[in-house]
Amino acid sequence: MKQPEPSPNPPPEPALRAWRTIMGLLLPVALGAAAALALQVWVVLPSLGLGNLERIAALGHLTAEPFPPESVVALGNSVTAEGLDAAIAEQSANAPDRPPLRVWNCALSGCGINEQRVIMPRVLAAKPKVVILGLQPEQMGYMDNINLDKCYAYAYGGFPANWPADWKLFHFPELTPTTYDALRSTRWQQTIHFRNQPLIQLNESLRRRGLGGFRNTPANNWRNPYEMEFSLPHDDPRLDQNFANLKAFKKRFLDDASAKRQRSAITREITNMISAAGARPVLVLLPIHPKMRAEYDNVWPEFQKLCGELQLETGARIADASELLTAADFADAVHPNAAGRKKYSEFLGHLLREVR
Amino acid sequence: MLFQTPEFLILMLAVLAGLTFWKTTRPQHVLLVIASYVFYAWLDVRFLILLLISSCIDYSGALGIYGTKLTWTERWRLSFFTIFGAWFCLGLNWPLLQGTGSYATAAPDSSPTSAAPLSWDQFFQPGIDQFPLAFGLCAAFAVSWPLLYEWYFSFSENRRRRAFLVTSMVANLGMLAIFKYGNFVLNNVVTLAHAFGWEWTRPALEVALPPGISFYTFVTMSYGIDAYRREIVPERSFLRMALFVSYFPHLVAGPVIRPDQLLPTLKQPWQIRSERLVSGFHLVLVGLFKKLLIADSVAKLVAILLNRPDELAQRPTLALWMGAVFFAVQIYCDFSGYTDMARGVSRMLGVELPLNFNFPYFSRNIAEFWHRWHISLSTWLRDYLYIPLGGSRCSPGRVYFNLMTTMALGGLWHGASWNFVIWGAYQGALLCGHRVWTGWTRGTWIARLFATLPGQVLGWAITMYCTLLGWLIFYFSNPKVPLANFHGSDQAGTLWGVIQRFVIFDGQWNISSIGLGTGAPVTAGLALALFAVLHCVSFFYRRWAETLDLLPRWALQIIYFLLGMVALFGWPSENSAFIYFQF
Repeated sequence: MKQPEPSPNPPPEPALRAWRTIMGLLLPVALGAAAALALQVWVVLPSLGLGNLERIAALGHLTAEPFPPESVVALGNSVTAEGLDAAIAEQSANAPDRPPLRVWNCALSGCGINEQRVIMPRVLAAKPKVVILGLQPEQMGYMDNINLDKCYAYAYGGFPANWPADWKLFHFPELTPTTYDALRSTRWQQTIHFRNQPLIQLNESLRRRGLGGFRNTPANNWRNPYEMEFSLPHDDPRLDQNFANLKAFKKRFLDDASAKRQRSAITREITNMISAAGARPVLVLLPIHPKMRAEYDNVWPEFQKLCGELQLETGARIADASELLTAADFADAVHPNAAGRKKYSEFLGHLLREVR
Repeated sequence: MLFQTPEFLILMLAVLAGLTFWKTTRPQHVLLVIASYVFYAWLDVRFLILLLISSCIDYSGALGIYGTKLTWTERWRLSFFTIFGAWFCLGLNWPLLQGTGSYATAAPDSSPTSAAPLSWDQFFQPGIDQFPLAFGLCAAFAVSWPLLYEWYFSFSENRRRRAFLVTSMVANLGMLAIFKYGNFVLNNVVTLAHAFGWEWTRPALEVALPPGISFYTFVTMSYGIDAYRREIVPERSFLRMALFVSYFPHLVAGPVIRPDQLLPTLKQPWQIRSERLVSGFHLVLVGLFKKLLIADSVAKLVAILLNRPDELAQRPTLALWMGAVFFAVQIYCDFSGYTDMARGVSRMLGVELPLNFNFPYFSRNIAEFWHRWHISLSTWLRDYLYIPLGGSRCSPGRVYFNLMTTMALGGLWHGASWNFVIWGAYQGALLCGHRVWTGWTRGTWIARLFATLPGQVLGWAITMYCTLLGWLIFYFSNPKVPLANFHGSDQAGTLWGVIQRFVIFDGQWNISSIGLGTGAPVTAGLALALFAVLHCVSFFYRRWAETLDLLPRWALQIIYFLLGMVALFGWPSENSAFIYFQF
């Protein structure tokens, strides 16, 4: 039988020497990390910003000060960002006998109703006169958790600082404790979370150089933050793919009936919040591509019912722009092109002239 | 606990402090066992009880095999230890303390109660619904095992040895069967019942997979078998045995350690030595580099290309090939990165763990690949399965059967899915094919051709092609991807469809059409290229960690400083678990 024999051990080493070695290993790494952190705080974040998420931080800075009188703030996702030209809307809205309105296109790409709730208290604290909420029938669909990076960006922009004191985790059924904690994170936690920004932005710039055709809403542009001047030709296979992907996505999104109540509750809550803050809520059903309208057939009546109830309960003005644009007015399956933007901005302008 | 987390750094510093403070083995072993249990409990405290029971059975079982009878006091002490462990692991509400609300961490509880402050009353309530059953089973084992032990000693020697071995095997394989294969077996029984027209609803058995159960079960099984074969003298100290099983560097994802590789070391006091600290630290750095910068970056590309098997039908074969290459790199860097870290951590503590990967992607045939890939598992399978089955010293037909059986079971070891069995059988078929080929060509011009450089390159290319196809089968070893569509002709989203598309190249070389789209991180591609260069240099010249060992101290200090900077900017925002943790 093989008897396990211990291998000979060299004479012991003084503990002090071992600890000196451990310190010699860890200290340079720690110093390197500390130097990188200092770079991050004083050089990287101030100069590079948050990249794609910088617009969120910029909105936080914008809403730190009150808006000028007669300000109209348009919130929503990329359809609003791409579809609203503030100058055109103002031109249509302003009347010679009234003080001029100032329209702010504060839409954030991918900002669903749950993210609008996150930003709303801070936006309302800046005292806008009118708040336009761009809604899609997705408000009646499944509600995703908010992306972790976005949560840190909202925290970086200071939005949760304006939340009512009673907003806890259970107030956000779609959030996990991780994403909620990210929204409540400290500046140090945010700084460390965004440590990958140099790498992410290097990645972005390489992709832009190599491939092109990216859309990225400019960070500090609150007037005309659109980029899509082009239109995909009707026979472009990318457009078909776009429709196919979108339909599959919407189907998954809208099939879950259990979440409808949550979303409609948030929409109701936000509308009430706007009214309570003394601003006029305007809910606009955003333009939908003619080829996509049939996808919403099963939620459309419910969505319209919700809008009707909100109008009665809160005095919100509801406007339906879902059939405003034709297929020629869209750049792709979702976003308006230059022609569509003009039509939609004028539509909003006329609406503002009514509600002011 | 993951090696790349701050809590592990704290644990490691505490262990190093303890080992330098206490110079004798007993307090050192107590410290290491506690540290190992904390390391494991950090992943999921419930399953610590399995580790404990496994250690108790194999400790006493191996001694029983050897003929050393534990006293009643020693046996009841183990029983008390088990019952206390069961209460500690299962009877307390650990998720409440962690703030997750429940053990289902995949879908954390976001109800108001989870935000409520912790009250001690709640903490002392069981964290799992099945506590009475689980605790009852543990208590039944704790009470019955000392009695059974006594009974076995009334047998003749041969019968006693067999009884202890069988008990040990049944306990270890039983735990694997219930916790790893329970759902799989039940689902197959239901499918079979339906095929025969019997309407049977399977019992609701939703058992979570204990982390690393396949690894430590193999470790304890080898301990029992080696004792039975009289290849080792079983450990008399329970503390040393518990440490052998739970020693944290190898606990969760290997290497699969053998008794003669670790037990002799445990008899001496642990010594922390500067040269081992430095050398181990370099291995840890290499492992971190592989895991965080390569595997986690490339995982994004793999996800884009392979995560939607139903979409693969619209993509060219090139997409599948690239997906397979990326996954090959990901799984290698993920697993070998973990092994490097485990070996590095262990070396820092003064114990050398065996090499688990030896440049597998430079293999020139499939047999060589299995001598280089997951070496500790393949040697385990060879020594405890292939050779007992008869090995290669029997008729050719029997050898092929042995190979196929060993590899198919090796595949099943990876996970409870038929696709893993197919992957294992596929590897077995490749090994059989290689064996046939070597027999046919031995001494011919073909063998001489394959010995030349172009022949070796050809052999390497064939091996890589077969390996990549194997990785695709491995990747789609997921119940959501069916093997084939048996009721229709559309095979696109099935494993069989994927294999067909990989094998039959469609002639499309247009890289822009593979579906990486605009979302593919360019930096992941750059990381991949960097890895390829470093890996080749490492193979043809010297391993990375060894190169670092040779550098002067000032150069190392600069490298550490720069690595600290890179770590801050490059460390992923979310720690991803290792692929092999699920096995």
